[in-house]
Amino acid sequence: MTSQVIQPPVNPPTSGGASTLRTSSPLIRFFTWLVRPNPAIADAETQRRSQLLAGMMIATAMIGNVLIFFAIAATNFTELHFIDTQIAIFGAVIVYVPIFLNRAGRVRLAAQLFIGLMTLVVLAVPYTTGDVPEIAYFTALPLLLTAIFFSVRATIILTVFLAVSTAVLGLTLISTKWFFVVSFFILLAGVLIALFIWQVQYEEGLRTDQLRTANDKLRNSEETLEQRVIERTEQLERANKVKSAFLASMSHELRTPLNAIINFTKFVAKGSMGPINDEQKGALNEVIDSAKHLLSLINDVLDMSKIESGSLKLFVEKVDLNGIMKSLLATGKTLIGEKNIELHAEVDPDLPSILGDKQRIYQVLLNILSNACKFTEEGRVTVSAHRVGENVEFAVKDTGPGIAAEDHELVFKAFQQTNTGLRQAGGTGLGMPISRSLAEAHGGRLWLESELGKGATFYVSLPIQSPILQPTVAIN
Amino acid sequence: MPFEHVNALYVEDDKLSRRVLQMMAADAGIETLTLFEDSANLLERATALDPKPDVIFLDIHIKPHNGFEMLKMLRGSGHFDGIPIVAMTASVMNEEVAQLREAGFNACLAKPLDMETFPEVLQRILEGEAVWRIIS
Repeated sequence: MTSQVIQPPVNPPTSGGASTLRTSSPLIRFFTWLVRPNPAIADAETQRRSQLLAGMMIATAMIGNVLIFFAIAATNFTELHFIDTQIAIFGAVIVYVPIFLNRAGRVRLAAQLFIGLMTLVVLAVPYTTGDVPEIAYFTALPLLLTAIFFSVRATIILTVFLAVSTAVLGLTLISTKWFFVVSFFILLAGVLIALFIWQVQYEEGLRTDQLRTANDKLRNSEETLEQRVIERTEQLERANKVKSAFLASMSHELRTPLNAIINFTKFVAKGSMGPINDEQKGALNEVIDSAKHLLSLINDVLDMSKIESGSLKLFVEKVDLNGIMKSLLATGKTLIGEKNIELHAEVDPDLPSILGDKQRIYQVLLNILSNACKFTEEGRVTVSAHRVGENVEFAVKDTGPGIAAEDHELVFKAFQQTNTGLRQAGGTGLGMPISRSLAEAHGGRLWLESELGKGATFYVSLPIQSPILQPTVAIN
Repeated sequence: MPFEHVNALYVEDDKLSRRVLQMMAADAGIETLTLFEDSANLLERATALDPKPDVIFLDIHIKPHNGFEMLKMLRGSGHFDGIPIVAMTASVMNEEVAQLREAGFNACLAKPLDMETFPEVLQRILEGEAVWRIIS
């Protein structure tokens, strides 16, 4: 049967990733919106950095604003603590510059500015207050930020700078007893932070390498699989070719001896090789009938093999149906023989030519007709053919015993014969399934209408120009 | 008898198949039937036939040259133009039929041959009709 492509069920498209945002709370959504990176940034990593930076700076701004509020509220401009003022000014005012730079997409510059300003404040505090220990609390911040946004090297540089600056401040401006401690603390903090970040980056690098290796492995196995698929397909094609060659040679081997059996026997039975008496003639005719039956068995089995292995090929051309119907009706008379059956024809006088395999179309119609004639003992067999829209519909109606509804599908199953008390003499059980496959291979249908005790009608519908058929020879 | 003056050539390696066609030809009253057992030196032997055959039957699966090659040789010589060349085959794959048609065979008969219809089929072939009987 011609191969049919079965469409796999189409999966509904999965919804995009946007749904993740909808599940978070309004507060989280607000903050996410607040730290949103500049849309022009394409690189995901830079986007994340921008978000992180934005988060830190906006937090700083908010704290700074709050501090200013309290500073003003608490002191009424009279006792503004200088240190608070500096921090407040940094947090409330100056930090907005890098915030907007970041929003504008200049992430690196914004980070540098933020860290720079923070370093300035950190150094300015002891300078203005004259007290070094305060600085210790704040130096960690710019060091950490440098480690996060820039390299380990930059962190070490800033560490050294801060340590030296503090030392200079201590030596030149303030009491010396603390600056060594503070410098040492700064150095320690800086080195620890740098090491920590370096370790994190190293592990990240490892993980990235692992991912890359895994990715490569995946790609390799994908290629291997594809290669295997190609090889398997080639194997299957070769196997199919072997099967077809086998069928062809089987066909040849099985039919050649039958040529001799049938024809030699016919010759002798005819009397062409000497006189034959009636008894001998009768016996030889039995041989001929059996051989013909064997031939039809071979044909059926070969057809079934072709259909099952998908190697059935049709010889497609423009088929004149009027000629076929004529032959069919003539053969029908022979099939009825001596039985008391009237053969009735209801054939459109002008049937259109249809696209198909002439031999196979005849095979299907003959199969149905011979079944009708075989199963009907007396009555009438009606053969009809009409154009119905884009198809030609044939029907063979008989007045035989009919087929019970539960047996209808059994009729089309290979090697089954219905159990309604009738055993078709010499049937192969393959005729109907083959006929149905042939009809379907033409893009048509074969079906049955029958009730037990009320005869049966077999219908065949064939499209005039089926889109699934390619003409084997040029239509002239 | 209609085939009184008809001469035929049949190239076939199976002894029984040759015999069967011989019987049918005799029955139909064909004047002469020449039988070749193989296709060696086909062109020589075929051209040497006198009288020239009016119809040529070729077994497809034969050695050293198969039916297709024989057809090419015979048609190529020009000596057999206008003479129907019939393919005889026991294998009935449709791909083969398409090949036979494309190769230019005038007709094709499937084995086992049908004795009853042989005279009628032969008549149609001699009249130039393209007879394609794949399943008897």
